[in-house]
Amino acid sequence: MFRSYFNIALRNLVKHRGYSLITISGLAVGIACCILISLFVLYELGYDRQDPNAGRIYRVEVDNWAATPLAIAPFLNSTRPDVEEAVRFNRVSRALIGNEQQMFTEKRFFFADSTLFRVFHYRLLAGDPEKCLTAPNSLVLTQAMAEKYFGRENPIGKTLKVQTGRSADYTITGVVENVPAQSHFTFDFLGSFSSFPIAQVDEKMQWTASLAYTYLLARPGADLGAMSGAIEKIMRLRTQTPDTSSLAVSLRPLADIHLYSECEKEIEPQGSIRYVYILSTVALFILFLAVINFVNLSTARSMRRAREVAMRKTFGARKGQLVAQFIGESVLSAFLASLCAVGLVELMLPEFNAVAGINASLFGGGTILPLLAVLGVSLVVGLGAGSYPAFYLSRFRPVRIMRSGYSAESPSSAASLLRKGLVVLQFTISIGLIIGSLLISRQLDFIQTRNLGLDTEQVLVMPISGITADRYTSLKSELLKQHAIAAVTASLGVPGERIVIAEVEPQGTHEKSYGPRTILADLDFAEVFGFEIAQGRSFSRDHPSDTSGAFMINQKAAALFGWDAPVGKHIDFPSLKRGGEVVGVVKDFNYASLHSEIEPLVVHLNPNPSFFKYISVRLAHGDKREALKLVEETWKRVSPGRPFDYYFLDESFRNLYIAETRLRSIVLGFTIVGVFIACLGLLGLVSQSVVQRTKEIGIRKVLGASIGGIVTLLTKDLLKLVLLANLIAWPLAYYMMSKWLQSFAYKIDIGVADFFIAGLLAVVLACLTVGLHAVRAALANPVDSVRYE
Amino acid sequence: MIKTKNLKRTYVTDEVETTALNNVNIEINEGEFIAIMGPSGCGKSTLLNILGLLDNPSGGEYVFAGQEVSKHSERQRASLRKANIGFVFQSFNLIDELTVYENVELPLFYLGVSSSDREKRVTAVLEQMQVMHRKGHFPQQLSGGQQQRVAVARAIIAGPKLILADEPTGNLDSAHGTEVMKILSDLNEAGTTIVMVTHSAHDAEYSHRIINLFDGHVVTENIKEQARL
Repeated sequence: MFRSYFNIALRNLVKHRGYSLITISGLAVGIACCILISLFVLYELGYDRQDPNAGRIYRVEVDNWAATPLAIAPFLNSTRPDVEEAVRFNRVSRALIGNEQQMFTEKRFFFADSTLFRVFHYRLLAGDPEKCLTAPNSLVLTQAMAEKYFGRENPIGKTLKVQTGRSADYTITGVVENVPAQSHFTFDFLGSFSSFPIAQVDEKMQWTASLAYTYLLARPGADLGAMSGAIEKIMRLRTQTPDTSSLAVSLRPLADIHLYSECEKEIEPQGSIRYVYILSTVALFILFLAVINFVNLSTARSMRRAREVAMRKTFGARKGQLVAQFIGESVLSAFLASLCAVGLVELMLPEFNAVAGINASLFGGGTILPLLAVLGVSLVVGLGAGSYPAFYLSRFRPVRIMRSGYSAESPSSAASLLRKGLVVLQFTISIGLIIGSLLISRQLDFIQTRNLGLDTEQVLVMPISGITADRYTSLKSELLKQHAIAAVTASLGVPGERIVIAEVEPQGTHEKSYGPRTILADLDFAEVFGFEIAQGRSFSRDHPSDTSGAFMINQKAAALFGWDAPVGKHIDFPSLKRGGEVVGVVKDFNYASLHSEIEPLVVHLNPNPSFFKYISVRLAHGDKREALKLVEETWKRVSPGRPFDYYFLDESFRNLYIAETRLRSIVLGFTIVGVFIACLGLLGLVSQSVVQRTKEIGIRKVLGASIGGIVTLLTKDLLKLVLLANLIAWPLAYYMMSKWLQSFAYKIDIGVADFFIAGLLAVVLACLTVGLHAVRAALANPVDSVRYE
Repeated sequence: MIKTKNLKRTYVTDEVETTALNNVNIEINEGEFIAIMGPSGCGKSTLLNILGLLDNPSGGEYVFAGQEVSKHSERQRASLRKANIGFVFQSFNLIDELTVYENVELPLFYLGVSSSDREKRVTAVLEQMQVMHRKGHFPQQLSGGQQQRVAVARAIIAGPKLILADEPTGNLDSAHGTEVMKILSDLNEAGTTIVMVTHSAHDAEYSHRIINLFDGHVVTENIKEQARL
């Protein structure tokens, strides 16, 4: 019996090739999208789960900062029996590593406590986990780095020159397996914490400066509330923070960091559970669209199968047997679709991985799990999509079919209404997706082209790891000799990068101290970045007093301090033991992502280059590549042997929106797929309706209907459905998109135009889909169509 | 074998009630060959559907093989039908997606006959109907006469006591029509009861008795035993 069903199903598929192509390809594309998004979601959910201790590892976060003071880990290790071990990492965002001949800039260098290997299960390929990070100037590197620096030689015991602010020779004491990509941060080098240059910072700084990432391994059953309470208590005590000021300590499970952390000072950009939700919803929508196609086309072409049902019933088939037959057919279709989908996924995966910024693979795990999942999907989709048509078809009564040829369906029948409802639903989803794509694109364009209050074009930023005064002065003067260079400055902190918070004491304000974002900068800072001065002036060589300590503040800072006329007011900078006058107020500019509001900012003129982390160059208008070559040549002349590392400021601002850019690409891609599937469904429906109405069309033409009239007849009902879908989609999309936009401090207004464009697009696509078929039907010779019946 | 008492069938569509059969009382004995005749719309096919247990009457009684079946559920009718009744239609009603072999096999399939048994019986019937050489073909590839022979093969494959034929020659030329009538006649002689709806006086000649319907009533019953003599 099964074989017979299978044969019939297969023959039906082949016989109605066009129809099969529409249903199966629609379903295949839908399932493929679903698989791709599932891979993305599973990849995102799989972060930091490889470590066997993952369930017991927590990161300490203070006031929503990923970094904590240095003293917390030792405190936990010495006082908390429920902490098995705690470990600190200090990140060196740019280390110079190499030998006398050649140095490389390495961006993944960390100082780590010797307890590291007791907390995390990084596999050491060489070296002793208990000892390799104990002695000062010990260095553990990853397999990849061992190969980069030592080739096939055994690196253990060899030395590398490491410059992390100060320069020292490090001995290689261990080689660790490369850190998996699905980790919230990865490292290439681990220096022993005992060699951390400011490990001996004073007692107060140990508790105030957020210099370390602290992770702890809790004992099973540890009371996390008590643990964070204890940390908070000691921090309040050591920093003399009164209970009235906020100080929130939280312990975040390792596996939650990637998707749930919204902390500042994350080591690497993290994912967002919101995007996981958005994309999961999109995936379900698309699968739903494909399933709807399946249901609609199956019921729409049921008349073709009515006679078969009638005959089978006449010769004794029971309803259950017919249901089984039809469901079997749809499971077969779904299975074929799934196979195509797997092919599509394999084809699209490299591209998708690149767009989504992941490294997922379908069969990479070496398990048959994905295959089982695909089989499961076929079964579920086949059952889901097949049950309604199966019950619908098997309900046909043979007498009626034999009497009237087939089960003529009135436009108000339940099946026809359901079909219309499903078309409306399909287009509602498609229109919603179009609106979503439009708004995401507009918002991205908005944030990328918005007047940030500074000029990011033509600015070259060179991250450095400390520079001597001599070298900086000669570099600057060499560069300024060139016509291609307009201005040069250096600073600790640049717009587009994270800017530190420091304690300042403005005088004559109602509070003693504030913690605004703070940049230490050289002269010409405002000129390089193109800030607009609202009051006063920028730092100037013409005012020698500036060099002994001058400030520029932004308008937000002026408001924070309660100053109407800030110029001339005095600010103290206690940690540097310096102070000076405010010489100018810059108009507020966005120095971070537009997700966040502009915060108060203080720029302090500090001519001591040892603090600086960036040299920034404004290029004169002209050939950017020529200028870049010039800067590089100058750099190499002034700092021989040091790598030339640079980026353009406008690029770094664009990189602030990687997540959004990805979202845009993915949603746009899936919108196209969704609309394609919906149109495919419409095409199937209209072709069915043309078949069903062949006789009607013929009679109308015999009676003198025009081609236009016939086309209108065939299209107007479907177009009405698309219009209705617009009315439903608009408010829903408005609601969803306003929620998404809420995550931006600066956002576009949702306009009527977005909705009209999406609606119009849907209508035009629907017209094109339906129209072609309708015209063909209308052009057919009426004699044929009347005879056809 | 068949007995109806005051059989009634009405159709209700949007406030219009149409009476297709009214107080039909007929009796058909085992081994008879009955022709039902009458003008279009007189209720012939409706009667055939009820007799074939495809439809329930709206009123009256219907006794089939000693059982009162007028109130049977679809399921009960289906199980009675598949074991006892074979159908032949004017438009053959073969399933296009199935081969000749599979079309004929279908009733056995729903009776749960084992596959080896099915093969034997289908082969025998196809040979009997002289379409064995066409068993792998699809209906569209056959002539009308061949299609109807396949349909007859399907009707008799399960060994029904009763064959209901709805204008079996209506779509055939006279040579093929005669061929099919000959087959039905042979089946009747072998013991199968046959009830046939027809417009053709020529076909009616093959029957023992003609029931004339007009506007849902039985108007006359002509016994034509002499025709067989």
